Amino acid sequence: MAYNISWYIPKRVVHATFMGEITLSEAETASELTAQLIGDGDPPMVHLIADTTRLERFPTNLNLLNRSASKHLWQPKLGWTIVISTNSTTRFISGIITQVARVRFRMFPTLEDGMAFLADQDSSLNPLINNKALHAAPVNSPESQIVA
Amino acid sequence: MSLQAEIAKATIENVRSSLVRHMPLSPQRNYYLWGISNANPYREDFIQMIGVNQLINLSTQMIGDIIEPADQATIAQYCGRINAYFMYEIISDNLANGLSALCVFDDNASMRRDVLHAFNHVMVTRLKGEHNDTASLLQPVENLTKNISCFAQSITPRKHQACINAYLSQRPDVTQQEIEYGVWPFLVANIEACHELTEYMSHFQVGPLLSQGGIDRYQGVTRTIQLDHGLPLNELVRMGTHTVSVVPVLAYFAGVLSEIIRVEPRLHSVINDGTLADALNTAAVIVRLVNDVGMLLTLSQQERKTVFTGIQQHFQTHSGDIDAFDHLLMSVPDEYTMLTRLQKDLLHGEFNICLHNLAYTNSVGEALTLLENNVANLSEQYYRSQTHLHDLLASIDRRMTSRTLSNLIAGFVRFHEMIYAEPYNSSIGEYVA
Repeated sequence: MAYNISWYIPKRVVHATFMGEITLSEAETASELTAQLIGDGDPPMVHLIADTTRLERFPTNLNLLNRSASKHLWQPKLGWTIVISTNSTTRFISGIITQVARVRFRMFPTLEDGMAFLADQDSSLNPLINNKALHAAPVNSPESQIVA
Repeated sequence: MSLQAEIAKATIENVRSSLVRHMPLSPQRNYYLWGISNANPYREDFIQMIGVNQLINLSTQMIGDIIEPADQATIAQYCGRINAYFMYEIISDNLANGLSALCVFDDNASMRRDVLHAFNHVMVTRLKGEHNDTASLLQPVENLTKNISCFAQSITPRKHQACINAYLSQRPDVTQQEIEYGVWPFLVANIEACHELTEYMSHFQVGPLLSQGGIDRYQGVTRTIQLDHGLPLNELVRMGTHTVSVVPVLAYFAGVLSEIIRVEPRLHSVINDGTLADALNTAAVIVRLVNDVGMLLTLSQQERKTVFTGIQQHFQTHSGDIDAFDHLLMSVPDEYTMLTRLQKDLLHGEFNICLHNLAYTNSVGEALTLLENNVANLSEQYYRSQTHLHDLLASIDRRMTSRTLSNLIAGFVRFHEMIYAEPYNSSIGEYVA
């Protein structure tokens, strides 16, 4: 398993990528890292894009997920949570947890679709997203944290 | 000043006084003192988040129609005292979140169970007058409590985070860690505040009802967190009734209104023959039932059938995604918030008399059938208890010189029927939402 938590757009959009099988303890750590980045981000809103297209297995117990792996959802600065996936179980679980936490949530099949939606919702991101498209970011920037 | 405002003022004063007198010096104590002060820009959110607003609403609703204006200020002080104690109760109660039979246990769960065991034991022995050294007796679990996040255990972690951010911006010398993982001082204060209240009321006729109600509550919580097998529904109701704190709260207010404010000369007759105890216990059964099952209890057989047919259809449509009962109940459309109490306890892993036995079923389908049967049985018990309480209150009315006691008990039950009909995550649907 691996997850990678980094800035997609520094201080504005967090990019979390999950691969393979993730345990509850790993989900908890990933949530804490995400919470730290959101806390360090620029107000008023820091968005989260979670790419789960390569995620194979993950904990589905709602009580444990809600108590242990949702610290990032507590952050007052959290804006939109965009999950990238085509998996119906991921959609199902993400939908319940984000609904309970009352955060803005959408799910898209591709990163491009997710970013287009985000740009539509937060126009201040447009120049940053366009700039990012021109200068594609490295997968592992110095700010990213990879756990394998 | 309105009664609500008077109770609010007295409650905040009593919370402040209790924090200073009952809670060991700690970052938590400073944080709460700041939280209820005007220095907190999120003061209103803070007071709602720690349950104080809803406690004030409960007090106002319970006594609003049954007191004389001249007694308002004095009664508000008594409300403030018990509300301060209940603020701690909400925190210690949260430790049991994630300990129901339906939960997957992790290491943190067994630590919380150990902490609760110790807490309940020290509380019970304190109420029995066996010691006066709460902090020393709780010392062995202090380190264990440092693994428990008060925020994660609460049902409002986002509000906690917003308030703590504001506090830390004013107090850079403090870290979130030391407040978030610091439940221990609250446990000490909880026991001391409860003991003080019980000790004070021990001089009145309701004293034994109050102290025994408290002892039953904490012993009952220990039993529920130890429970690792299914039980008959009536036994679960009995256990749940003890843990719900209705008897001690009503005994306290009965004493305040009928012994301290306006002396009811015939109070002894309903205490001595057990009528008052029966009424308080029946009120506790009703409140426990609405707390756990909510509006489903009030449906007709046909209406209930419609709700469960809808759940069954949802299950069939999404059977590929639903592999556990919590997935089913948390995802089903619930336009009329019929399922809100069940959803709350499933999500937060709280003991629930209607859900407990579902942990020992073998499939989602079997669990759904059992749930439907449980709701039908508990609904019958709810109406039987309502009728019994009505008869008991009529009997009390006939023997007392005023309707104060019966109105108090009826108002308390009505308040809980009202709030538990609302979505649990709305500001009126739960104590701390």
